Amino acid sequence: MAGKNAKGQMEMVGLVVIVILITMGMLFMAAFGLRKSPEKSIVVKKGLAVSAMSALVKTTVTDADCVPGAAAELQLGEDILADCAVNRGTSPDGYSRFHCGLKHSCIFFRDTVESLLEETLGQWGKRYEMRFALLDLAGRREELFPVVGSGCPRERESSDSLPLQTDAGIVEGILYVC
Amino acid sequence: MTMNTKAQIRLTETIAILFIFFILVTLGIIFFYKYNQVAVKEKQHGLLQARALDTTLKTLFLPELQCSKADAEPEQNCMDLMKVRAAADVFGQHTSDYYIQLFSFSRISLHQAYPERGEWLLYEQQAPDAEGNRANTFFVVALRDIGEEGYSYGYGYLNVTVLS
Repeated sequence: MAGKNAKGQMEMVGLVVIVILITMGMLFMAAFGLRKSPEKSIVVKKGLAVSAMSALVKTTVTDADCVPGAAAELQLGEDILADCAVNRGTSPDGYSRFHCGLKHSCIFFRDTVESLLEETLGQWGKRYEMRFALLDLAGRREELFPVVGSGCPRERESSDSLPLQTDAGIVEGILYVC
Repeated sequence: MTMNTKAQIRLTETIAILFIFFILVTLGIIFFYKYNQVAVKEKQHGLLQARALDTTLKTLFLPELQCSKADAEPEQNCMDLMKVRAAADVFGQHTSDYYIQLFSFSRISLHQAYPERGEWLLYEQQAPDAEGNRANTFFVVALRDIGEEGYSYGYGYLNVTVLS
């Protein structure tokens, strides 16, 4: 009798093992089948970072307050950012060559870049992080202003580092899209 | 126990095992069918996204819109507003003989965010028996315009929506 009970129990265990194996097989199949390919996502993020960075530094500022008494068309990168690099020590309330929006060049640049990126990348649900640093003539590295954006804690794609020659040294800008 | 009773018990056991086996197989088939349904929908969505990306790249490199420097050297990630203003008419006149093969059923619009706001609808073609599926892509571009002082650049983005 004990022998028959043991046989019955062994058969039940066998059935349970088969059910578990079939379930695990189906779960693995589902997991591998639904996995997304990451290559296309990387290409899109990198292209977006490069184009956004390029468009930002080329943007022409048409504010009437930039140069008092003159209607000057200045570029956000070549003029405003360069002025910020030279006069970074007097930010936020001190002297800068240009006073667009009645602000110091560093403040104006940061605010403008932040609002443009938030209106585009932010609205599209993309997280991003933009940094600008100055490599001065002595080789020291200094962040020009706090990082712009919501931050990229993990995987991220970046624009190429955009070097801009100024009187204070080389300004390097980089935009991460994640 | 008689031999007949033993055999009946054995038979009942076998029938029960077969019954459970067929239930498992049926559950497996239902699971596989549901999984396939989801996989096909995902694949469809993925293909639509890929088509949206292809259309965006084609639009970005279209000579009819792209900024060009001397000797027609193209400027990357830039659209010439002089060309853009004329593009909607040109695309409209040649939709059926050329542009529909390029862009298929989609909606392409260009938006300017700085310094002034602007919007240009470049191309739109609805699918006749559309299922309502759509995929959106956005791409930032510089917008070049010509003024009295020379070239000026605005900040904008391209919005491509593909329909199926």
